[in-house]
Amino acid sequence: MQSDPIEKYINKVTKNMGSKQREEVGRELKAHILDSADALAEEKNVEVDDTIIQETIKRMGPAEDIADMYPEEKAGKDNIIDGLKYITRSLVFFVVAASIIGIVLQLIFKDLSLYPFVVVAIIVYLVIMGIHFVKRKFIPKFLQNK
Amino acid sequence: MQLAVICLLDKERYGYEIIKNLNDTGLKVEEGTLYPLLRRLEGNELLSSRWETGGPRPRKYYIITDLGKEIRLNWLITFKTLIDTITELEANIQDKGASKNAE
Repeated sequence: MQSDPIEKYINKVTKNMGSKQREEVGRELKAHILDSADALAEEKNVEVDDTIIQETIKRMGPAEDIADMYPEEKAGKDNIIDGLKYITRSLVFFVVAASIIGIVLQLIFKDLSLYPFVVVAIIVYLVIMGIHFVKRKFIPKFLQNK
Repeated sequence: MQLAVICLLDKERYGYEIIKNLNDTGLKVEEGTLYPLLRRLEGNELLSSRWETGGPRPRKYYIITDLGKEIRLNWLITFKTLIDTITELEANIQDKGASKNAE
């Protein structure tokens, strides 16, 4: 239980890193938090507990700010993984959007042909993806202009 | 802060040790900010590192490289020049009381 807030903090810091960087940074930050917690507990003459861990994490600074300070070190493999994640996410969006539209249209128009359904599903899919891009500011590396 | 950090690394030290040393010299740093800085300095080849996994916790030790020593010298010269310039400019301040209050 004690390590949960540490893992949570480290995951927030490392979530956008490539696998090698994530592993190294996570290991280093975890060792630091544990060292720092030991020192704080000794200073207060108490055992390391959740309160000490929380205070130590607070001293580290906001995870999002720390994450932004790290240099980007993604390897080619990480970009491929990002690309695959993007394609998977897109397909899931499409299937979900198409299913919802399909169910709604079936309920409204009992004898619906496939063609208008596909057109509406694609339009809705594009709108959802557009909102997704704007909200997440996420464009995979292989689609970015070099 | 990077100049202070790089000045500590003629001897191998790990992150927590560096923060303790900085705090001892009166330079308070938000602990998490040190690690991205170390990573950047290492990426620029001003520092090198190695993992020590023999102890109770794995530790990443950093030390300054030859390139780091060259760059550090340049930074120190720039920093000292800046201090001299500020000292010179401070002599032109007429309201010394306000200057002392600002300190």
